[in-house]
Amino acid sequence: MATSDVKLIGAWASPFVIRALIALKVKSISYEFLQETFGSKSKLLLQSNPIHKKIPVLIHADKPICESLIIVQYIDEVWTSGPTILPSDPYDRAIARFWAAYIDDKWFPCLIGIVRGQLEGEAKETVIQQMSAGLVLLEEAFEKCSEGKGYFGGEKIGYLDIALGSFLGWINVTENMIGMKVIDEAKTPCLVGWAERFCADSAVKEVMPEIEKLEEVAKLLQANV
Amino acid sequence: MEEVKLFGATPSPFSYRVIWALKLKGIPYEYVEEDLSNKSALLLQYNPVHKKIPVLVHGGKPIAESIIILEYIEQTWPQNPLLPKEAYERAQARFWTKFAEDKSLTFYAFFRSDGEEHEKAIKDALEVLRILEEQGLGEKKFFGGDTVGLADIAWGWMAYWLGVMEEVVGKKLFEAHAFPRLHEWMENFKKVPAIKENLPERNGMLAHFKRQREILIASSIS
Repeated sequence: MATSDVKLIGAWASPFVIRALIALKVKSISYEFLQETFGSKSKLLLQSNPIHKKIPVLIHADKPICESLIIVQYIDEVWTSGPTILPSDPYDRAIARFWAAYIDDKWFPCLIGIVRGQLEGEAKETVIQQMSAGLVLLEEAFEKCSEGKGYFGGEKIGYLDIALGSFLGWINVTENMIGMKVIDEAKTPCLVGWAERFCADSAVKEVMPEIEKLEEVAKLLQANV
Repeated sequence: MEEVKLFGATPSPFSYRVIWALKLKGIPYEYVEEDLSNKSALLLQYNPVHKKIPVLVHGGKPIAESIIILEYIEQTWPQNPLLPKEAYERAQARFWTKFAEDKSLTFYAFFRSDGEEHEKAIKDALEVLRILEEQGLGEKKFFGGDTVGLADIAWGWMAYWLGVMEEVVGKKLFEAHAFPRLHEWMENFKKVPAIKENLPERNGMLAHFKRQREILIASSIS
Protein backbone atom coordinates (compact mmCIF):
# COMPACT_ATOMS: atom_id res chain seq x y z
CA MET A 1 0.00 0.00 0.00
CA ALA A 2 1.42 3.40 -0.97
CA THR A 3 2.63 5.55 1.93
CA SER A 4 0.42 8.44 0.79
CA ASP A 5 -2.63 6.18 1.13
CA VAL A 6 -2.35 6.34 4.95
CA LYS A 7 -1.88 9.62 6.77
CA LEU A 8 -2.05 10.37 10.47
CA ILE A 9 -2.76 13.91 11.63
CA GLY A 10 -1.37 14.31 15.11
CA ALA A 11 1.25 15.56 17.52
CA TRP A 12 4.14 13.43 18.81
CA ALA A 13 3.41 14.31 22.45
CA SER A 14 -0.26 13.32 22.53
CA PRO A 15 -0.94 9.95 24.17
CA PHE A 16 -4.05 9.60 22.00
CA VAL A 17 -1.94 10.05 18.87
CA ILE A 18 0.64 7.59 20.28
CA ARG A 19 -2.14 4.97 20.43
CA ALA A 20 -2.71 5.30 16.69
CA LEU A 21 1.04 5.29 15.98
CA ILE A 22 1.58 2.09 17.96
CA ALA A 23 -1.30 0.37 16.13
CA LEU A 24 0.22 1.39 12.78
CA LYS A 25 3.62 0.07 13.90
CA VAL A 26 2.14 -3.22 15.17
CA LYS A 27 0.74 -3.84 11.69
CA SER A 28 3.86 -2.51 9.92
CA ILE A 29 1.78 0.00 7.99
CA SER A 30 3.60 2.74 6.07
CA TYR A 31 2.12 6.12 6.78
CA GLU A 32 2.75 9.81 6.47
CA PHE A 33 2.72 11.71 9.76
CA LEU A 34 1.25 15.19 9.54
CA GLN A 35 2.46 17.04 12.62
CA GLU A 36 0.13 19.69 14.00
CA THR A 37 1.67 22.84 15.48
CA PHE A 38 1.03 23.33 19.17
CA GLY A 39 -1.55 26.05 19.70
CA SER A 40 -3.04 26.03 16.20
CA LYS A 41 -5.11 23.68 14.07
CA SER A 42 -4.43 23.02 10.39
CA LYS A 43 -7.07 23.41 7.69
CA LEU A 44 -6.81 19.69 6.99
CA LEU A 45 -7.54 18.85 10.63
CA LEU A 46 -10.56 21.16 10.77
CA GLN A 47 -11.81 19.70 7.50
CA SER A 48 -11.21 16.08 8.56
CA ASN A 49 -12.64 16.38 12.06
CA PRO A 50 -15.09 19.30 11.88
CA ILE A 51 -17.11 18.19 14.90
CA HIS A 52 -14.37 17.75 17.50
CA LYS A 53 -11.42 19.47 15.76
CA LYS A 54 -9.09 17.09 17.60
CA ILE A 55 -6.17 14.80 16.91
CA PRO A 56 -5.54 12.01 16.08
CA VAL A 57 -7.26 11.69 12.72
CA LEU A 58 -6.36 8.79 10.47
CA ILE A 59 -6.85 9.44 6.78
CA HIS A 60 -7.06 6.26 4.73
CA ALA A 61 -7.66 6.55 0.99
CA ASP A 62 -8.79 10.14 1.64
CA LYS A 63 -11.40 9.13 4.21
CA PRO A 64 -11.02 10.43 7.78
CA ILE A 65 -11.42 8.32 10.91
CA CYS A 66 -11.52 10.12 14.26
CA GLU A 67 -11.21 9.13 17.95
CA SER A 68 -8.08 7.22 19.00
CA LEU A 69 -9.73 3.96 20.07
CA ILE A 70 -11.98 3.93 17.00
CA ILE A 71 -8.84 4.40 14.89
CA VAL A 72 -7.11 1.47 16.65
CA GLN A 73 -10.15 -0.75 16.02
CA TYR A 74 -10.32 0.37 12.39
CA ILE A 75 -6.63 -0.43 11.85
CA ASP A 76 -7.15 -3.87 13.40
CA GLU A 77 -10.15 -4.59 11.17
CA VAL A 78 -8.62 -3.39 7.89
CA TRP A 79 -5.07 -4.78 8.14
CA THR A 80 -5.85 -8.39 8.96
CA SER A 81 -2.50 -9.88 7.89
CA GLY A 82 -0.63 -8.34 10.81
CA PRO A 83 -0.80 -9.38 14.49
CA THR A 84 -4.27 -8.94 15.98
CA ILE A 85 -4.85 -6.06 18.36
CA LEU A 86 -8.29 -6.68 19.85
CA PRO A 87 -8.82 -9.97 21.70
CA SER A 88 -10.69 -12.50 19.57
CA ASP A 89 -12.85 -13.84 22.40
CA PRO A 90 -15.98 -11.65 22.78
CA TYR A 91 -15.80 -11.58 26.58
CA ASP A 92 -12.08 -10.73 26.65
CA ARG A 93 -12.79 -8.04 24.08
CA ALA A 94 -15.56 -6.59 26.26
CA ILE A 95 -13.22 -6.50 29.27
CA ALA A 96 -10.50 -4.78 27.21
CA ARG A 97 -13.06 -2.21 26.02
CA PHE A 98 -14.34 -1.71 29.56
CA TRP A 99 -10.90 -0.82 30.92
CA ALA A 100 -10.03 1.35 27.92
CA ALA A 101 -13.24 3.31 28.53
CA TYR A 102 -12.40 3.53 32.23
CA ILE A 103 -8.98 4.93 31.37
CA ASP A 104 -10.44 7.62 29.12
CA ASP A 105 -13.52 8.54 31.18
CA LYS A 106 -12.35 8.22 34.78
CA TRP A 107 -8.57 8.01 34.94
CA PHE A 108 -7.31 10.41 32.27
CA PRO A 109 -9.12 13.48 33.77
CA CYS A 110 -7.08 12.91 36.95
CA LEU A 111 -3.81 12.77 35.02
CA ILE A 112 -4.49 15.89 32.97
CA GLY A 113 -5.70 17.67 36.11
CA ILE A 114 -2.30 17.14 37.72
CA VAL A 115 -0.29 17.93 34.58
CA ARG A 116 -2.07 21.27 34.08
CA GLY A 117 -0.59 22.33 37.42
CA GLN A 118 -3.63 24.31 38.61
CA LEU A 119 -4.54 22.04 41.51
CA GLU A 120 -3.38 22.74 45.06
CA GLY A 121 -3.67 21.39 48.59
CA GLU A 122 -6.50 18.98 49.34
CA ALA A 123 -7.92 19.11 45.82
CA LYS A 124 -4.57 18.05 44.41
CA GLU A 125 -4.20 15.27 47.00
CA THR A 126 -7.65 13.91 46.15
CA VAL A 127 -6.88 13.78 42.44
CA ILE A 128 -3.50 12.10 43.04
CA GLN A 129 -5.24 9.50 45.19
CA GLN A 130 -7.88 8.89 42.53
CA MET A 131 -5.22 8.45 39.88
CA SER A 132 -3.30 6.00 42.08
CA ALA A 133 -6.45 4.08 42.98
CA GLY A 134 -7.24 3.77 39.28
CA LEU A 135 -3.85 2.23 38.63
CA VAL A 136 -4.44 -0.29 41.43
CA LEU A 137 -7.67 -1.31 39.67
CA LEU A 138 -5.71 -1.63 36.42
CA GLU A 139 -3.13 -3.77 38.26
CA GLU A 140 -5.97 -6.15 39.22
CA ALA A 141 -7.26 -6.07 35.66
CA PHE A 142 -3.77 -6.93 34.43
CA GLU A 143 -3.61 -9.98 36.70
CA LYS A 144 -6.90 -11.23 35.22
CA CYS A 145 -6.34 -10.30 31.55
CA SER A 146 -2.71 -11.35 31.17
CA GLU A 147 -3.30 -14.92 32.41
CA GLY A 148 0.26 -15.06 33.65
CA LYS A 149 1.75 -13.68 30.44
CA GLY A 150 3.52 -10.36 29.87
CA TYR A 151 0.79 -8.08 28.54
CA PHE A 152 -2.88 -7.23 29.04
CA GLY A 153 -3.24 -8.87 25.62
CA GLY A 154 -1.43 -12.00 26.78
CA GLU A 155 1.66 -12.99 24.78
CA LYS A 156 1.82 -9.75 22.83
CA ILE A 157 0.62 -6.19 23.14
CA GLY A 158 -3.06 -5.67 22.48
CA TYR A 159 -5.83 -3.09 22.67
CA LEU A 160 -5.66 -2.46 26.41
CA ASP A 161 -1.85 -2.39 26.45
CA ILE A 162 -2.03 0.33 23.79
CA ALA A 163 -4.86 2.19 25.56
CA LEU A 164 -2.90 2.47 28.83
CA GLY A 165 0.68 2.20 27.60
CA SER A 166 0.35 5.34 25.49
CA PHE A 167 0.23 7.27 28.78
CA LEU A 168 3.46 5.86 30.25
CA GLY A 169 5.58 8.85 29.26
CA TRP A 170 3.05 11.25 30.79
CA ILE A 171 2.78 9.07 33.91
CA ASN A 172 6.53 9.54 34.36
CA VAL A 173 6.17 13.30 33.94
CA THR A 174 3.41 13.31 36.56
CA GLU A 175 5.50 11.23 38.97
CA ASN A 176 8.31 13.78 38.67
CA MET A 177 5.85 16.62 39.26
CA ILE A 178 4.33 15.15 42.42
CA GLY A 179 7.54 13.56 43.69
CA MET A 180 5.95 10.15 44.07
CA LYS A 181 5.71 6.97 42.01
CA VAL A 182 2.18 5.90 41.00
CA ILE A 183 3.38 2.74 39.26
CA ASP A 184 5.55 1.11 41.92
CA GLU A 185 6.60 -2.25 43.34
CA ALA A 186 4.51 -1.84 46.46
CA LYS A 187 1.10 -1.10 44.94
CA THR A 188 1.33 -2.14 41.29
CA PRO A 189 4.14 -4.69 40.92
CA CYS A 190 2.77 -6.30 37.75
CA LEU A 191 2.43 -2.92 36.04
CA VAL A 192 6.08 -2.12 36.82
CA GLY A 193 7.26 -5.10 34.77
CA TRP A 194 4.59 -4.51 32.13
CA ALA A 195 5.63 -0.87 31.68
CA GLU A 196 9.24 -1.83 30.99
CA ARG A 197 8.20 -4.57 28.56
CA PHE A 198 5.76 -2.29 26.78
CA CYS A 199 8.23 0.55 26.28
CA ALA A 200 10.86 -1.89 24.98
CA ASP A 201 8.46 -3.35 22.38
CA SER A 202 9.53 -2.68 18.80
CA ALA A 203 6.17 -1.14 17.93
CA VAL A 204 6.43 1.28 20.86
CA LYS A 205 10.11 2.25 21.16
CA GLU A 206 10.17 4.60 18.17
CA VAL A 207 7.00 6.47 19.01
CA MET A 208 7.27 6.88 22.80
CA PRO A 209 8.58 10.40 23.42
CA GLU A 210 11.45 11.15 25.81
CA ILE A 211 10.45 12.37 29.26
CA GLU A 212 12.52 15.56 28.98
CA LYS A 213 10.67 16.54 25.81
CA LEU A 214 7.29 15.81 27.43
CA GLU A 215 8.28 17.94 30.42
CA GLU A 216 8.79 20.87 28.06
CA VAL A 217 5.30 20.30 26.66
CA ALA A 218 3.93 20.14 30.22
CA LYS A 219 5.34 23.61 30.82
CA LEU A 220 3.55 24.90 27.70
CA LEU A 221 0.27 23.34 28.86
CA GLN A 222 0.66 24.93 32.29
CA ALA A 223 1.37 28.33 30.78
CA ASN A 224 -1.61 28.07 28.44
CA VAL A 225 -4.30 27.46 31.06
CA MET B 1 -27.21 -21.47 24.65
CA GLU B 2 -25.90 -20.19 27.93
CA GLU B 3 -28.16 -18.18 30.18
CA VAL B 4 -28.49 -14.44 29.53
CA LYS B 5 -29.51 -12.09 32.35
CA LEU B 6 -29.96 -8.35 32.18
CA PHE B 7 -29.80 -6.19 35.28
CA GLY B 8 -31.60 -2.96 34.51
CA ALA B 9 -33.80 -0.23 35.93
CA THR B 10 -36.91 1.25 34.37
CA PRO B 11 -36.94 3.91 32.99
CA SER B 12 -33.19 4.17 32.39
CA PRO B 13 -32.50 4.71 28.67
CA PHE B 14 -29.17 2.87 29.14
CA SER B 15 -31.13 -0.21 30.24
CA TYR B 16 -33.38 0.05 27.20
CA ARG B 17 -30.43 0.17 24.79
CA VAL B 18 -29.60 -3.38 25.83
CA ILE B 19 -33.25 -4.52 25.77
CA TRP B 20 -33.58 -3.21 22.20
CA ALA B 21 -30.45 -5.03 21.04
CA LEU B 22 -31.56 -8.31 22.62
CA LYS B 23 -35.05 -7.96 21.12
CA LEU B 24 -33.77 -6.99 17.67
CA LYS B 25 -31.64 -10.13 17.61
CA GLY B 26 -34.29 -12.35 19.17
CA ILE B 27 -32.12 -13.34 22.13
CA PRO B 28 -34.03 -14.77 25.08
CA TYR B 29 -33.02 -13.32 28.43
CA GLU B 30 -34.08 -12.97 32.03
CA TYR B 31 -34.64 -9.41 33.21
CA VAL B 32 -33.81 -8.34 36.75
CA GLU B 33 -35.23 -4.98 37.81
CA GLU B 34 -32.87 -3.15 40.17
CA ASP B 35 -33.98 -0.62 42.75
CA LEU B 36 -31.30 2.04 42.30
CA SER B 37 -31.91 3.40 45.80
CA ASN B 38 -31.16 -0.05 47.18
CA LYS B 39 -28.76 -1.84 44.83
CA SER B 40 -28.58 -5.60 45.12
CA ALA B 41 -25.49 -7.36 46.41
CA LEU B 42 -25.38 -9.21 43.11
CA LEU B 43 -25.23 -5.99 41.06
CA LEU B 44 -22.43 -4.63 43.24
CA GLN B 45 -20.60 -7.92 42.77
CA TYR B 46 -21.06 -7.84 38.99
CA ASN B 47 -20.12 -4.18 38.58
CA PRO B 48 -17.86 -3.25 41.49
CA VAL B 49 -16.11 -0.43 39.58
CA HIS B 50 -19.15 1.67 38.60
CA LYS B 51 -21.96 -0.03 40.60
CA LYS B 52 -24.38 0.81 37.79
CA ILE B 53 -26.93 -0.74 35.52
CA PRO B 54 -27.17 -2.09 32.90
CA VAL B 55 -25.11 -5.23 33.44
CA LEU B 56 -25.43 -8.18 31.09
CA VAL B 57 -24.51 -11.55 32.54
CA HIS B 58 -23.86 -14.29 29.99
CA GLY B 59 -23.05 -17.76 31.25
CA GLY B 60 -22.29 -16.21 34.64
CA LYS B 61 -19.83 -13.64 33.25
CA PRO B 62 -20.77 -9.96 33.71
CA ILE B 63 -20.34 -7.16 31.17
CA ALA B 64 -20.97 -3.54 32.18
CA GLU B 65 -21.46 -0.26 30.25
CA SER B 66 -24.30 -0.20 27.73
CA ILE B 67 -22.32 0.40 24.53
CA ILE B 68 -19.73 -2.22 25.48
CA ILE B 69 -22.62 -4.62 26.13
CA LEU B 70 -24.02 -3.80 22.66
CA GLU B 71 -20.67 -4.54 20.99
CA TYR B 72 -20.51 -7.83 22.95
CA ILE B 73 -24.02 -8.79 21.86
CA GLU B 74 -23.15 -7.91 18.24
CA GLN B 75 -20.05 -10.10 18.24
CA THR B 76 -21.65 -13.03 20.10
CA TRP B 77 -24.98 -13.10 18.20
CA PRO B 78 -24.27 -11.94 14.64
CA GLN B 79 -27.85 -12.28 13.31
CA ASN B 80 -29.64 -9.02 12.44
CA PRO B 81 -26.37 -7.11 12.57
CA LEU B 82 -26.17 -3.75 14.30
CA LEU B 83 -22.91 -2.79 12.61
CA PRO B 84 -22.13 -2.66 8.88
CA LYS B 85 -19.60 -5.08 7.37
CA GLU B 86 -17.38 -2.44 5.82
CA ALA B 87 -14.65 -1.14 8.15
CA TYR B 88 -15.00 2.57 7.33
CA GLU B 89 -18.77 2.46 7.83
CA ARG B 90 -18.22 0.64 11.13
CA ALA B 91 -15.86 3.41 12.22
CA GLN B 92 -18.54 5.97 11.33
CA ALA B 93 -21.18 4.05 13.31
CA ARG B 94 -18.81 3.94 16.30
CA PHE B 95 -18.07 7.65 15.91
CA TRP B 96 -21.77 8.61 16.15
CA THR B 97 -22.27 6.14 18.99
CA LYS B 98 -19.41 7.71 20.94
CA PHE B 99 -20.86 11.15 20.17
CA ALA B 100 -24.07 10.01 21.88
CA GLU B 101 -22.10 8.91 24.93
CA ASP B 102 -20.05 12.09 25.09
CA LYS B 103 -23.12 14.33 24.80
CA SER B 104 -25.39 12.57 27.30
CA LEU B 105 -24.06 14.89 30.01
CA THR B 106 -25.23 17.90 27.99
CA PHE B 107 -28.81 16.65 27.93
CA TYR B 108 -28.55 15.59 31.57
CA ALA B 109 -27.50 19.16 32.38
CA PHE B 110 -30.62 20.39 30.54
CA PHE B 111 -32.68 18.07 32.73
CA ARG B 112 -31.14 18.69 36.15
CA SER B 113 -30.23 22.36 36.21
CA ASP B 114 -31.81 25.77 36.18
CA GLY B 115 -30.62 29.34 35.82
CA GLU B 116 -27.41 30.09 33.97
CA GLU B 117 -26.25 26.47 33.81
CA HIS B 118 -29.60 25.55 32.25
CA GLU B 119 -29.29 28.27 29.61
CA LYS B 120 -25.84 27.00 28.67
CA ALA B 121 -27.13 23.41 28.50
CA ILE B 122 -29.90 24.50 26.12
CA LYS B 123 -27.37 26.17 23.84
CA ASP B 124 -25.06 23.12 23.90
CA ALA B 125 -27.93 20.69 23.31
CA LEU B 126 -29.22 22.65 20.32
CA GLU B 127 -25.73 22.53 18.84
CA VAL B 128 -25.67 18.74 19.22
CA LEU B 129 -29.07 18.49 17.52
CA ARG B 130 -27.81 20.71 14.69
CA ILE B 131 -24.75 18.47 14.17
CA LEU B 132 -26.92 15.34 14.10
CA GLU B 133 -29.39 16.93 11.72
CA GLU B 134 -26.80 18.19 9.27
CA GLN B 135 -23.97 15.70 9.53
CA GLY B 136 -25.19 12.60 11.32
CA LEU B 137 -28.00 11.10 9.33
CA GLY B 138 -27.35 12.38 5.84
CA GLU B 139 -30.00 11.00 3.52
CA LYS B 140 -30.30 7.71 5.40
CA LYS B 141 -33.43 6.48 7.14
CA PHE B 142 -31.41 5.32 10.13
CA PHE B 143 -27.80 5.90 11.19
CA GLY B 144 -27.41 2.22 10.31
CA GLY B 145 -28.86 2.71 6.81
CA ASP B 146 -32.10 0.88 6.06
CA THR B 147 -32.18 -0.88 9.41
CA VAL B 148 -31.56 0.14 13.00
CA GLY B 149 -27.89 0.02 13.99
CA LEU B 150 -25.62 0.72 16.94
CA ALA B 151 -25.79 4.51 16.63
CA ASP B 152 -29.59 4.46 16.34
CA ILE B 153 -29.79 2.50 19.57
CA ALA B 154 -27.30 4.88 21.23
CA TRP B 155 -29.41 7.92 20.22
CA GLY B 156 -32.74 6.11 20.57
CA TRP B 157 -33.48 7.70 23.95
CA MET B 158 -34.01 10.96 22.11
CA ALA B 159 -37.02 9.59 20.24
CA TYR B 160 -38.98 9.05 23.43
CA TRP B 161 -37.21 10.25 26.59
CA LEU B 162 -36.52 13.77 25.31
CA GLY B 163 -40.21 14.64 25.08
CA VAL B 164 -40.74 13.55 28.68
CA MET B 165 -37.69 15.52 29.83
CA GLU B 166 -38.97 18.63 28.03
CA GLU B 167 -42.36 18.27 29.71
CA VAL B 168 -40.79 17.91 33.15
CA VAL B 169 -38.40 20.82 32.62
CA GLY B 170 -41.19 22.90 31.06
CA LYS B 171 -39.05 23.87 28.10
CA LYS B 172 -39.16 22.72 24.50
CA LEU B 173 -35.75 21.93 23.06
CA PHE B 174 -36.66 20.03 19.94
CA GLU B 175 -38.94 21.55 17.29
CA ALA B 176 -39.82 19.24 14.40
CA HIS B 177 -39.72 22.06 11.85
CA ALA B 178 -36.19 23.06 12.94
CA PHE B 179 -34.86 19.48 12.71
CA PRO B 180 -36.96 17.73 10.02
CA ARG B 181 -34.53 14.86 9.38
CA LEU B 182 -34.17 14.09 13.07
CA HIS B 183 -37.91 14.30 13.50
CA GLU B 184 -38.48 11.77 10.73
CA TRP B 185 -35.75 9.54 12.21
CA MET B 186 -37.49 9.63 15.62
CA GLU B 187 -40.83 8.65 14.10
CA ASN B 188 -39.26 5.81 12.10
CA PHE B 189 -37.32 4.58 15.13
CA LYS B 190 -40.43 4.37 17.29
CA LYS B 191 -42.24 2.40 14.56
CA VAL B 192 -39.71 -0.47 14.60
CA PRO B 193 -41.60 -3.31 16.36
CA ALA B 194 -38.72 -4.29 18.68
CA ILE B 195 -38.55 -0.67 19.83
CA LYS B 196 -42.28 0.11 19.85
CA GLU B 197 -43.03 -2.92 22.01
CA ASN B 198 -40.21 -2.07 24.43
CA LEU B 199 -40.70 1.45 25.70
CA PRO B 200 -41.43 2.40 29.31
CA GLU B 201 -44.93 3.52 30.21
CA ARG B 202 -45.08 7.28 29.75
CA ASN B 203 -47.02 8.37 32.82
CA GLY B 204 -44.78 6.39 35.11
CA MET B 205 -41.77 7.92 33.40
CA LEU B 206 -43.16 11.41 33.77
CA ALA B 207 -43.77 10.95 37.50
CA HIS B 208 -40.31 9.44 37.98
CA PHE B 209 -38.50 12.23 36.14
CA LYS B 210 -40.53 14.93 37.92
CA ARG B 211 -39.36 13.51 41.25
CA GLN B 212 -35.79 13.23 39.97
CA ARG B 213 -35.64 16.82 38.79
CA GLU B 214 -37.05 18.12 42.07
CA ILE B 215 -34.38 16.24 44.01
CA LEU B 216 -31.58 17.40 41.69
CA ILE B 217 -32.64 21.07 41.71
CA ALA B 218 -33.03 21.02 45.50
CA SER B 219 -29.58 19.49 45.98
CA SER B 220 -27.94 22.05 43.72
CA ILE B 221 -29.42 24.91 45.73
CA SER B 222 -28.19 23.64 49.12
